[in-house]
Amino acid sequence: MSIGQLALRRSAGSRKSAKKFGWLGWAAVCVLSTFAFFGVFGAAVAPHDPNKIDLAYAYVGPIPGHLLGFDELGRDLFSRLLVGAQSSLLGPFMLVFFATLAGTTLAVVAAWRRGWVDALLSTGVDIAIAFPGILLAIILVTIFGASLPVAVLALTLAYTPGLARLLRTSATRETGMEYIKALKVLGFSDSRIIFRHLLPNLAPYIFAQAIVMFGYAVLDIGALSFLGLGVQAPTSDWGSMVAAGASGLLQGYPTQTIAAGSCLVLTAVSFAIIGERLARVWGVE
Amino acid sequence: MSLIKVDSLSIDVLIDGAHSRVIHEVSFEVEPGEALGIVGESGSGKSLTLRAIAGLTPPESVMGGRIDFNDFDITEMTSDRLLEYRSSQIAMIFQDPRAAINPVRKIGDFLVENVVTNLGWSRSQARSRAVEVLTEVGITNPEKQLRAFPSELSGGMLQRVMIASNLLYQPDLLLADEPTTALDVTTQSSVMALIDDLRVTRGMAMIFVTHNLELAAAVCDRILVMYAGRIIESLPARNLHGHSRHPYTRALLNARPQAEGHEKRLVAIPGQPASGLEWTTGCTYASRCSFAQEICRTDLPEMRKIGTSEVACHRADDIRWDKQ
Repeated sequence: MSIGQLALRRSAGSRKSAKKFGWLGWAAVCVLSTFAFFGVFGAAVAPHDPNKIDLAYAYVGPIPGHLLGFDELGRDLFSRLLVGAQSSLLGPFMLVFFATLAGTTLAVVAAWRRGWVDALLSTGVDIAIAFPGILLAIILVTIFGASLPVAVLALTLAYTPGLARLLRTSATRETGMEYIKALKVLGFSDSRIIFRHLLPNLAPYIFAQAIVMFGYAVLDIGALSFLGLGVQAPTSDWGSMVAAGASGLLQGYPTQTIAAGSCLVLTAVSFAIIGERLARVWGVE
Repeated sequence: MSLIKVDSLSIDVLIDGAHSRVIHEVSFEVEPGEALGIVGESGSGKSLTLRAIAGLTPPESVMGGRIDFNDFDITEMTSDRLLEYRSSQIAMIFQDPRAAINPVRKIGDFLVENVVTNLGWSRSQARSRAVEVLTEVGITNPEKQLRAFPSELSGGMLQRVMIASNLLYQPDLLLADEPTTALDVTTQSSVMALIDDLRVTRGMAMIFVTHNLELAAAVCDRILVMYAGRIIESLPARNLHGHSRHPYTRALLNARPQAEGHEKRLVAIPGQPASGLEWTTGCTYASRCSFAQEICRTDLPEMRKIGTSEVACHRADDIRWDKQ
């Protein structure tokens, strides 16, 4: 597709964007805004101390003042959910940030240099993709100990190659465009062309990928926390809350697992919807 | 001293993992202020030759020979010198302005970026100069157009913007790569007239690549005819009609429609155009040439001077064109 057609499609897209984004897209935005708000202000707005243990209230159901009742140690579930939003979203955010940075860098370097650099990076990426991310995470945790930064590092290494491969295709097509050659003839340095011209044109692809990736990141960081490889007690986190609630599930107290699990699923689904809708609006499906 | 001197340029491009030569022994010179037209069919290597002068060879291609600009070999230039050469001494007009202008930047940013970043002008000076050159290339309401995105302008307008971008500074050499091919027929002539006019008034040299012989003859001083990656004829533009010597040039001239005498069916050149890739021992045009003899299939013709032309054809002096 020529850049002209793309430009036409983008401008046609902006006219219809409201329609294309749809009520579902806006609903997803509302869900994420709410979670993001709690991610930042959760500790301030939580009605109770999320870490205050009172075994007398273990597994007690909803009572006035305690919307969702209590967990296995008698801690207020609703407060733990609100405070847990921070670590549940911050981990994926860092993961997406680092993976996007690394993936974009690899893709642009490969597309710009071509030749043996491209061949080397592409082969490296293919090998890295074959390596399972969770396994990598377990290896790193064994070496460095379980913590959120280690989980983020492990998943960054796992996410980067796939993103690099996807973006390399877009970047290669974009660097082959006539306007990049025109800028070279105008005598601009490579770095200026890349930062001022190439990356802004790649931005829709990068953002659409990053947002879709955020959904997966929430689930994967949640999964690592569920396995005890991510966020450590007593910090509340949706993934570890799902795991903590598992014993209660067998005894007939499913509230904690369902509540924390729902938050994870809602976040992941919202990101997937927004990513897909934005890609449609920007014409980069 | 010539402005540009191309000496036995060859280009090998990577196709399916192997290098193949597509430009063979191309040599020519352009004097300051001279307009040179390069004509040929698609795939004859005319665009590739032009881009090599701008230092734009395809990725992973191998270039041989020399391209001297004011006696500096551009293939030997340091990257700083190359950036300077590109930003202030040459200018290029591309075939499709819509593809050659970054779609996400405004017209004003496109126009001033080079002179502000590379030549150190102030932004306000560059913007007022941009308004002047936009007016000069015939764009109405230039202040408003500076704030427009490329998608809001028509192809003809965008090509004028591209031309304007080259007039902000004073390049010595204008490289025009089929600048009117992507435009409407009605805008083609006005854009071409504009390029010619601005070139002549500013005394710039130009290399004009096209497959339109008439157009090349009208705006250029000298014409090079390329076929299959080689120059086969070089002659003064005013002699193109009466005095061209190569059978291929003659065939091209016969293959275009005439304004008068339209009863005649158009004469097509038989066969497919050969690309520079095809390997033959003799003349690359021999298989399509109605004058070909044994020597044409065995020996590659050298360029030689006949009258006002330089021509690579064994039979150029045997063929009597006035009897055809």
